[in-house]
Amino acid sequence: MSLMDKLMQPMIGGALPVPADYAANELVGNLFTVWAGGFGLAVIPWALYCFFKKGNDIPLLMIFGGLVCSLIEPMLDHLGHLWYPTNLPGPAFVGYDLNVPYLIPPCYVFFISMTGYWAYTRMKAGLTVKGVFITWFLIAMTDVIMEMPGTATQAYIYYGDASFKVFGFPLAWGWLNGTSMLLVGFLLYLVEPYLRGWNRLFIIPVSVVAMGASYGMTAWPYFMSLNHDMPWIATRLLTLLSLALCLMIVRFTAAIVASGHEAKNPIEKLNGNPVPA
Amino acid sequence: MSTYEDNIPTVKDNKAADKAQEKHMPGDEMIWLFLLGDMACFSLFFCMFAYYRLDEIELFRQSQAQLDVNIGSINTLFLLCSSWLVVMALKAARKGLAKYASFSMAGAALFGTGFVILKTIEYQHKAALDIDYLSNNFYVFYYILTGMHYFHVVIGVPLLIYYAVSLYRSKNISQTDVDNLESGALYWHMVDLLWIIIFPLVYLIP
Repeated sequence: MSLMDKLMQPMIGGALPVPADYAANELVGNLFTVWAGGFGLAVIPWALYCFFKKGNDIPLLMIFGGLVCSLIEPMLDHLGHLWYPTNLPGPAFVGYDLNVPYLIPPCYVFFISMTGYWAYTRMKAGLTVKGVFITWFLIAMTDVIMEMPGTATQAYIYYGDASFKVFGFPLAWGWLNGTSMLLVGFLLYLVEPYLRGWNRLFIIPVSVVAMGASYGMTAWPYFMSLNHDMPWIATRLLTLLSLALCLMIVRFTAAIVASGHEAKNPIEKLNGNPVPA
Repeated sequence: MSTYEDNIPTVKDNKAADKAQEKHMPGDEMIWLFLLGDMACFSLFFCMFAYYRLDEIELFRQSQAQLDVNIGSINTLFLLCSSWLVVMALKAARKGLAKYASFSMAGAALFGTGFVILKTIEYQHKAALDIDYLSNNFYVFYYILTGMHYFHVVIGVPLLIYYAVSLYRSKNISQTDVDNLESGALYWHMVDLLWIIIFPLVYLIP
């Protein structure tokens, strides 16, 4: 096959149902459930401590937010071509004909809401443009640490010919998830100063709103590459386009965060800044 | 109007300052949370390993005999040296010795890289013997425990290199820089600590 033939090789897109006989090694499944879900459970005592001892309600509300946010998972799995084995502990719920295992809700608590909260604390402390990019990179790496052991041992798989797979893990998920978690922190950073009294409950939907918005902005080229028929090279270019969009979104975020080092009232700070000519 | 005497720290002030110093938690609060979650998960893995080992003791012994203890021992030394160098780098950074801190951090990264290389060689040896994570339950644990630890090291080494480069370039080290270094050092010490448990548990216990 010539190089041109390889580049133009037609790739068939579209989601496939989970094969009935797809099962993970039982021990691997249990270990991965502990791994991906354990973090989410471990933060609960800390969030309660923050609430009762320090009067900080954000971690606790973000935990509820993470649980709500996990409802997005089957949509992402469907579009992102992910199969969970039929024998993972669960299902916690079913969506898009996919059984979502027990590990997912606590996994979202830590890896979406708590990493988002971490990004928020860093923004609140004051970040430069470079600092925002480093935060984004570290969050993306946290996702890689969490996911790669699962894909490498086939505790779950990204099926088909997803672009840039390493140990079965498409690297696109690193930058897509990294951006979504950063935006969770960013939205919290923007709205939290304005929420008082019962309005504090609006912190709960921050995770699901920011994550959904992030995927809408950055993941559509990657999902196109998986779900439409197109030449091989187009799938790779679209995946790289999703990376470019992520970098653009992170840069926009960084521009705003870096402009308001004093973060008590970021929106007011933004309003006070003249738009550059 | 304040007088000179007002500005002289009293014994009470000094005690309060000492107490604040004592209470200083190194690094970012969230890095502690990450370490807590990480170590809680690994602790559960260790318990599960012990449980399965009791159930299949002969299989675990036979499989353990196929592991390369020499590589494991050298890797333990690498991580210990690396952790020590990170401590030295942090001490130097607190004193404002940026270049010394940078070289120590670079040394730590070098030992970390050595660990990654040796571990990769070990995995290749296993693959050449047709051993993978599905060979038996011992190897499920072997690959999950050492594999997850391996990913931690792979992520940590670029972090150490980043610290080394930024320390080398920096003219003065701010308190924020020291706080960031502390967070990185905490992560690296956890990586070291996990290996200190994994190595005897998986490679050595007869």
